[in-house]
Formats: sequence, structure tokens, C-alpha cells
Amino acid sequence: MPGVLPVEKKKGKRIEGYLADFFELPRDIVMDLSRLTLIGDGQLHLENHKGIVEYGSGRIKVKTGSGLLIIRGEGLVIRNLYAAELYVEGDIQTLEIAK
Amino acid sequence: MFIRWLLNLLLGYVVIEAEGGGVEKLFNLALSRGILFWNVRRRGDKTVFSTYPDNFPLLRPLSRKAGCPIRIQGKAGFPFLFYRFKKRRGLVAGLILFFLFLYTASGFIWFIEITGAEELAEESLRATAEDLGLSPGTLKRGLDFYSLEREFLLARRDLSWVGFEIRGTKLEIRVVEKTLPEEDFRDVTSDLVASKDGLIEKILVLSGEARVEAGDTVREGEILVSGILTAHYQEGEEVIEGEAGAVRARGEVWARVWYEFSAAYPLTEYTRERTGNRTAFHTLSFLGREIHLGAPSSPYGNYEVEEIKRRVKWRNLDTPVEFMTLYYYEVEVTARELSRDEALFKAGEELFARAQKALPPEAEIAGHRREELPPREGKLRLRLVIETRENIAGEMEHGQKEERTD
Repeated sequence: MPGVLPVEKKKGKRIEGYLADFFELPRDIVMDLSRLTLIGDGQLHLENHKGIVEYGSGRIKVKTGSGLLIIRGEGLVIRNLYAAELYVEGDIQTLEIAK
Repeated sequence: MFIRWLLNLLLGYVVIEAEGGGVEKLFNLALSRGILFWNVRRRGDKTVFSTYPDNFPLLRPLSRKAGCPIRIQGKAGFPFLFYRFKKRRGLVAGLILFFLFLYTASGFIWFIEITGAEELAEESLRATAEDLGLSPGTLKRGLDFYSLEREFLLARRDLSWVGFEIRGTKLEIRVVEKTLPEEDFRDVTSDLVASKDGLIEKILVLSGEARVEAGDTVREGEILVSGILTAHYQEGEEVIEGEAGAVRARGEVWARVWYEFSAAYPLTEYTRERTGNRTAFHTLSFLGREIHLGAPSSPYGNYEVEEIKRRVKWRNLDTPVEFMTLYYYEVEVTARELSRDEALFKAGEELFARAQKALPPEAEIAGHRREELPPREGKLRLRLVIETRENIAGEMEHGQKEERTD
């Protein structure tokens, strides 16, 4: 679903979460959440993002299903930038989710 | 990642430089249209990223909307390389020519290697190959090596096998030489004489005139087949015999030949056995001087002597000091009376061994006879007569005293 910015659906999310737990399905698929994979402190894989808010070599802000993900570090490079996937390389120091 | 890199290289990509703060908006707009980026990095206030070249025109309106001007900083990948080549036709032509040349050149035989020739000259084999159309510069295609091998073999009588193998541009010819029998083609005249005493059984004359016939007894050196031919011609009533030239006598004369062996074997057998007692005498020799440690002499009546020399070594280095030990072993001699059968068996064994050495390998054994002679001086005596059938014809050239043995 490229380009479609998420529309908040508070009620739906609750039911989906319940269903995901019941059927033991991964939440990121059912609830349209992001999946973050951090490998060491140098590679960050972010699946299902909702768009870049800010890009800089010291800070990257990405919109995700659960808020704004702020990646701080040094020499940050976006190796791959696809519609739903993001792959950041560099010296990652902090990850923060701003609700 | 490698696959991705290869794909990018194949498809080609452009490196774009974007200026200003609206880069994020540009990215989001582009992503929503399915445009991909990679290697996004910040360089001062500029952002550099890579994308496929087809995307660039699509990005133009988006950059205007996002308020961040973009420009192409670099191009990479094969499509751009080809584009560059288009402008350098000479280079491309050269490249194609080079590969074409390499391809065509690999279709020829450039080297011929000959292995297995020991007696034969490699040059003559090379010449034979050339006669068959195999020389450096021959096109490999269309060559039927199977039939060429046969033709090669037919052309060379001195080979028993030939094998061709192509290794790239090299033709390997492996040959196996024929070992021809050594024939004596000398132009001489000769007789066949008996090499042994014997009784003629069969005579086969290939050339010459037989002087003996089956049933004759011949002595060593007697002429069996003469190379001197006789002719009979009539002169009136008289038949005159005359010489009619000489040839080289050839043929086989098979005769019975007897060999006689005799052996005597004592009926008392002495065995020597060490009793286990021994005395040692040591001698030290240093630079040619010998120092005896005790006088060497045997303390036993019957004894055996053994000498062991040892060089004194010091850490792998030989020293001039030699250590010699003489061992005297006490020996017990026991006499044993052999039974007649035992003695016969031992004597027979000895005779057999002697006969095996004496008989020519090509002789065919026709029969044998063994007889016991009356014992003498406490020894059993045995005689063995072996009768063989063998070719006793030996060539002797005319005007030559000694018999040739080849």
C-alpha cells in the first residue's frame, strides 16, 4: 500500500490485536505495524514504514504505524529506500518512538 | 546484496543530488509512486541517492512540487558503458575482432606434441602426421581422428599403436613402438651343424641339403644341413656329381638328446647347532692402532666366529675410534644316520636342481630315468638320465671355424 498514509482506527486496532493474539498471528501483519530489526548497532531494517519525515546523517525520522521512529547516530545512510522497506546503515546510537 | 548490486550494474543507475530541505517530501512522493532509492546519504546540505535512470524524468515534477531541485551527479552500469562505446566505434570493433580472432584461432591445431617415441625420431613421426594433413595450422573441425589413427598406423609399420588427443589447440600424438624381431639378413653362406650329440628324429630343411636323416646318430659339430648344393648331371652313361653353388642353410633338426647327472649323498648327516655359549673378545682400534682387550682364541672345540664392528659415534659425528667384538660361539656337532629313503630324496632334490640349470629352456622333456648305483665310501649314489627333444641345428658360416651362437 504505497503512499497511503495511515488513518487512525482506534476501535479496529483493538479487535485486530485481539484476533492476532487469538490466532497467534504476527501483529505486524494483522495490525499494520512496523517490524524493526536491529543488527548490532550498525544495521537497521525497518519493514512497513509510512514515509520519511526527516533525513540527515545524524538523525532520521520515519513515520510508522505506532508513531514516529527517531533514529539517532552518526554517518547514517539509507542503503535501500523502498515503498514499504527501509534499510539504514551507520553508527546507530538511539532509537526512540515518539507517540 | 551481491545479486542486487549485479542487477543494478546490468540495468544501470543514476546518482542524483538533491538540494534543500524538501528531500523527505520528495522521497515520500516518489515512494508512493513506486520509485525506489538506495544509498541515500547526506553530503553537507545536499542529499545524494541512487535510482534507476528511467525514474529520473518522473522525479522531475515531484522535485518541483517538493521544492528541492535535483540534478544528475553520475551514471553507472552497463547501459551507460554501452552508450560510451557507441561513441567509440573503433574500440568496440577492436574488441569484437579480438574475440573473433580468439574464437577462430582456437579452432586450429597450433601445436603437435609427440610422446612415446623412444627409438624413432620425432621428426619422422611429424612428417607422417603432415602427410595425413596434420600440421600446425590445420583446422580442427571435420577431422576424424578415429580414421586418422588407423591411417597413421597403416603408414607406419614400426608402430603398434597410435592415439590422437586434442587438448585445446594442441594435438597430442601418443605412440607405442613396435619391437621388431632382430632378423639376421646378412648375405652369407652357411651349414647347419649339430650343437649336441643326439639321435635325429625329425628334419626340416628350408634351404640347403640334408646330410643326415631321421634315425641317424650325430655327434656334436657334425654337419646336418649343408649349404653347399650338389647337382647331378649325366654325361653319357655316367652320373656326375658336382657342386652347384652355396646357400645359407636354414632349417630345424629335432633330435633326442640325453643328459646325465649323478649325485652322491652321504648317509650320515652332520648338523651344527649353537649351544648358546659364547665368548667375546673386544678390540679397540684408533687411527690404525689396535688395542686387544684379551687374546682372541677359541675356548671351544667346535665353534663359529662372528665379527661385529662398530664405530663410536658422538652426536651423529663419526669418531676415529672403532670398536670391534669377536664372538666365539660353541657349536655342537651331531651326526645322524639317514635312512635310505631320506638320502634318496635329498639326492633327488640335488639332481633336479642341477638338471634345471643345465637343460636349455626350449628343450622339451621326453622322458627320464633314475637309477641307483652301488654305494661307495658311505655315500649313496644316484644317476639321472633325462631325455629331451630339441632343435640341435646351429648355424656355422662357411669359412668360419667357430659355431655362431645367435
